[in-house]
Amino acid sequence: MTAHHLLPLFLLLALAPACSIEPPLHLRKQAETRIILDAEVNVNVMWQADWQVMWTFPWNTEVYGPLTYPEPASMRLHLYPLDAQGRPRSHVVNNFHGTTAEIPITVGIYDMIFHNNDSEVLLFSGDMDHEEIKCATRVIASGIKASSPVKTLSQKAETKASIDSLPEEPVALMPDPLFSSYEKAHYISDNLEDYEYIDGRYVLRIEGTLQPLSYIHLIQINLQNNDGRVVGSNGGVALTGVSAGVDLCSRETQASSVTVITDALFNRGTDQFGIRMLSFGIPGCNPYDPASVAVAPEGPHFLVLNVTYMDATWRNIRIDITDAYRALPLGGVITLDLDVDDFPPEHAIRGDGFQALIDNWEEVRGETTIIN
Amino acid sequence: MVFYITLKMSQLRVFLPRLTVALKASVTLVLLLISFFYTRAQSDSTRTQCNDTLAYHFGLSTNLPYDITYIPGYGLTSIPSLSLEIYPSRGRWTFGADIEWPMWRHYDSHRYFQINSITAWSRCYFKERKINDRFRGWYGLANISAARYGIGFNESSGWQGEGLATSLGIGYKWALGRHFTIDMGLALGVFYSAYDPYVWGNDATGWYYYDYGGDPEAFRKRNQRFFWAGPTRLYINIGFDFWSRKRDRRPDRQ
Repeated sequence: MTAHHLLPLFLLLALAPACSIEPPLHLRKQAETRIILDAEVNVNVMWQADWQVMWTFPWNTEVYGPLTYPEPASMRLHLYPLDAQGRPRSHVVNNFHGTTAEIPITVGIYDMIFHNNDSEVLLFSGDMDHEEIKCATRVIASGIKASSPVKTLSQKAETKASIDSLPEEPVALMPDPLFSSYEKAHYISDNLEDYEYIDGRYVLRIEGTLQPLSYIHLIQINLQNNDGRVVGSNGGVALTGVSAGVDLCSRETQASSVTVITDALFNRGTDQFGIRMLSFGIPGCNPYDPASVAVAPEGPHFLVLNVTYMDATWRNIRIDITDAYRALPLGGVITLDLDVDDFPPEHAIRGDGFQALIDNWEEVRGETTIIN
Repeated sequence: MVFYITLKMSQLRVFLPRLTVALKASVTLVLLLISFFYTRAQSDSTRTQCNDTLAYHFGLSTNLPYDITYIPGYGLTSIPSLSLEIYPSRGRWTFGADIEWPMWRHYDSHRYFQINSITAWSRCYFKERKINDRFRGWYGLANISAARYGIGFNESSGWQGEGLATSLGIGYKWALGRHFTIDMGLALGVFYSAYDPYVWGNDATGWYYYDYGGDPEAFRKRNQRFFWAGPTRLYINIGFDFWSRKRDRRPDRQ
């Protein structure tokens, strides 16, 4: 046995290091992504197919804005890269204008939550936990108490109006339109075959569909036998028993309820109130799921309308709209008929302030000298 | 760098059952080689004339501290190693090569210990070799090494790279009988490496990523450097020398 006899053995042993070093390493690449979001709002499907026929109030779009959902002006994207167990391991936020943007995203698998970010009323919370992004509005008062129950004409016929007192719940600002889209386990690929070659560079296309999570109810109130007695609403209108907020991922509305307020527009020509009321919907359900709506806690939902009379007095009247509101979990047109004879004036306007509705007022001019 | 500790018996009881099949295989291979050649040598010796001379050609050895090694951050492990020393017929100089090839991978715990190292070296024995004798005693050595490695301690601490080392050292070799040797030594030198740190991505892909947070376009592999000056090698080798017999055929010897 000589040295050259063992050389093959030694060479074989030397080949052992030829095994590859593991693990293979990858570079965290960033992909240029083109985000295209479609605000898919078909109110003919969400509301009623003939809602435009049902809605007769002369709404001035130029003054009061659109009746339906406007296009979101800016968006926020929450990116949650998933770990090996499919759990989010961090949280990245991107803001962009409009519903289309090009932003770099590191290659990986993500849960993505898009929502509009163009409102100062909507308050978002819990965005560090991707299952807990909630949206609500600010509470502004402790509640509306002074009101008188009034039955609509149909309720009088069916004698089913509730005379329950108002629920003790906070009053919150009415939400703005809220849109959201939740994309689960979206793969940001580094395979160029998944990309589009645009203007000399590769761009990954991400498409999502935004759906409303605050719902618009168009409420029109036809006054019967008004004879010029009700001339408007200084205090506006409140809707009780609506959800305090919504979870952006599950679309589940919060179980707690609030009262939201807005203006009530009055058209003297038709003796008609027109109200565009936004809310997060029925508490404790997914409004897109009829089965969930069916088992949601029952109302009640009252509409508390402040009416101002010709003689400058006012009154809050309370109308039970529980059935109508629950029948339209995604919004729609609610028409109420009220007999003014059922709610005569109760309170005179107090104080010496400017009363625009009082006739025979006189303008007085004078001079005042201020001495320091 | 490799550090060593003295193993207590309790640690051995815990560690020994965990020796991998590969380690056992390598030890078994060395023992089989030793037993094969030793048996053959003994068989030859029965036919040997007392006036024959032995020509030592080369020796194989393994570094015992490498076989059970403690790596801080990684734990107990083994570095299979083999060293070849070529013996010229006379003189002071010998030449050799070492290879070390631990390829341990623990995917579940993100622990990796993979080193592919090849070392070429030369020794100068202080005592000149004579006929029918072996290289032994004190010697000085010089070596040069090339290595690549992939070492991971956990999901957030891993390194892959290549390196070069050169060192000078001193050692002592004992000859035990006609075949076995014990060889101890220490070398001091420098080690230079280009490497990349890496981390487990902890994402749905299960991938490992370069620990790099900059512009991907600006990324270059092996952009980290490591330099070490100091002890580069500590060894206690047990070896087996291979020899052949030269029969003295001079007429006056028959």
